[in-house]
Amino acid sequence: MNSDNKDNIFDRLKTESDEYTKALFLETCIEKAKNGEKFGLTNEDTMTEVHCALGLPYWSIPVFGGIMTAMPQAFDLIDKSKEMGIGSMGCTGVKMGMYMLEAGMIPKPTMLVIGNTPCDIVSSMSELINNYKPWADVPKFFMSAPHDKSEESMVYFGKQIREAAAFLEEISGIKLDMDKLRQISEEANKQCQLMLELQVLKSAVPTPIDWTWGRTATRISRWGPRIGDPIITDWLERLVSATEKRVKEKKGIDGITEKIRFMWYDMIPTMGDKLFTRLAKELGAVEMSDYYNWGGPWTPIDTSSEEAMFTSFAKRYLNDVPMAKHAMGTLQTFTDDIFRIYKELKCDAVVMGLNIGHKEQNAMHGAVQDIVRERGIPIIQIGCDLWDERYMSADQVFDKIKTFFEVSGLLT
Amino acid sequence: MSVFDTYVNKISEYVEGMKAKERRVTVFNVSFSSAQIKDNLPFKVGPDANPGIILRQDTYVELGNPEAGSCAFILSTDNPSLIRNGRITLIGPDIPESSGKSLPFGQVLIFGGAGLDDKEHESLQQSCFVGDSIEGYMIRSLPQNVWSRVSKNVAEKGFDFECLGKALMSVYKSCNSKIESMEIVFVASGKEDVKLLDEISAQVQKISREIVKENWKIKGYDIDCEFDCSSCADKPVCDDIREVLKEKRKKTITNTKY
Repeated sequence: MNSDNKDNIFDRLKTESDEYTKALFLETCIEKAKNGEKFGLTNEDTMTEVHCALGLPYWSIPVFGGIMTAMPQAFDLIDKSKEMGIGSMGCTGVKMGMYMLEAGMIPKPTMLVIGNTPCDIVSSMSELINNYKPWADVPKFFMSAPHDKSEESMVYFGKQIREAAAFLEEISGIKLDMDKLRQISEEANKQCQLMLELQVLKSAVPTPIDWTWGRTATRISRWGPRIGDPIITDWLERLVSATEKRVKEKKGIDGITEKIRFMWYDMIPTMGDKLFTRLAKELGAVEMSDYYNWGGPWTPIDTSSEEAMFTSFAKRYLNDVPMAKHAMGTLQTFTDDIFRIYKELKCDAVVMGLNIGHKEQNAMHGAVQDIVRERGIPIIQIGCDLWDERYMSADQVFDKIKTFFEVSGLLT
Repeated sequence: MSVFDTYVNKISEYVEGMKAKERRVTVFNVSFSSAQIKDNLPFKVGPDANPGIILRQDTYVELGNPEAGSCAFILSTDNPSLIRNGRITLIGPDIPESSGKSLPFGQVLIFGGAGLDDKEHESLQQSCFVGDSIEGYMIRSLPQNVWSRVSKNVAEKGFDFECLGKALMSVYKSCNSKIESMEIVFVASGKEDVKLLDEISAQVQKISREIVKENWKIKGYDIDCEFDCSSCADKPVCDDIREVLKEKRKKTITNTKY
């Protein structure tokens, strides 16, 4: 929280974003189902602009799972998901979504778009959805994203997104209005630009706002039904303007004396609120970048033609969403991003969460550590479960990071 | 001979093409000597010369914003005759006349040096971080792009593309001693022109990726394992191994007695 005065802009922005974020929650989906309205479910977020242009409500099952890990009953549900026989080393957030599906917690959708990105457990989820008997009669569209990053692959995946859009049109009976899609895409471009601007502002020393703002901005501008909505653009503009003011006044995060700047190279863990807050308060160590506080750059959607738009969607997802980019990319992509962000955000250290579920990255970790150290950058790899604190508690992770800062000479 | 020599020539052809299209082309010839270049500039160049960030309201001109269009890449050659040492070519308007604008931006840095072999190319890409080295010039190096801002303060002091070129020459010269000559091409004439440059960039990136792959292989890492067997050059080897294993298994099964 950053407070300039009693009735401060950041409080207002938080209240508004809390309201917008509700659109991602399971409760909103249940409400829609109760009213007998048509809605879609997915386990990817490759075509968010299309959903919004259709005005078709949709939700992401992995997002349901991720959010549920922060709920009071989370540990019980995680254990139950393990009892289902899903591999224990799979991502717990996705496992939770799979359990919620099998347990009948998720309402039956009108249509499903499922696929293979960004990782193997999402593919497993697609299999589970496909074989889930109560949803056997739900029309499904399968996406198959290429690992290759060539232009040809982007055109190929863009065509798949176009076919998926046609599928949604057919099932929902709503015709996709290309002008509306263009309008939403152009507004989404502005939103991505503002996210990038926010990242630039965060690079100021001291950093003007804490990590929670990037998370909120990503949730409401890249997920859910408000992508390309001018309300979100206005929210981002006000956040950027308020942050600019803090940079001008050389204000850091309220109540924190910034001593160390580190990047958390992973998703923000469920324990993030405890862990990052404690690191900042006790050690003056501020978290600068993660898979939500990413800032892009996002490929601008080229609205010059229908094909250009859909190819841009493919690029925006496969090249720009950090988890898809890294899980389906090469070691070079992985390390290039570390070096770029480390320098631009003026970080002192790299902390890799090493989520146990990110198996597709396992083969790279040793190499990443060697290469990053070769450049003289302090790095630690934790190996926690981002969604289940019992695997490694916030206190244990705190201790590891604190010791790392001490031995690296960053904390004296 | 460097693998990029063809592309150094392609850049010359590109510039000629722009002239043929009657784009405004301005050429500056400067002396490529680190000390001299730095001395004549009306702003600081060097580590931490621009420690802060340039806010939107303090920006005189923005270059290569992702929305406006951007493309940036480097070329290197061990053939000095291909480089017009110290030449800065600008296609399009200059900075002083672009107040308040967001210009599309293309930037090609061409390095020459006897020691600049293909392996050195990766090092050239990674060793220099221009980021905060030029006063009043904030740069965000996006992959294959450059997005930057020129502050109102330095614009008042006369910051233009010639100055920017000199500053970049100074920064690169000081961070890699193998650079003996350097030429720069800036494109700010339009999105279409930057897009054309991007087509050359795509080819250069492909070669750069191959070089990077080879460099990683030397370190013992295969960074780009093929997932598709049908497109893998090693498929015949794997097929042979499979056949051998199949035969071995057959023998094992035949010899197994229950």
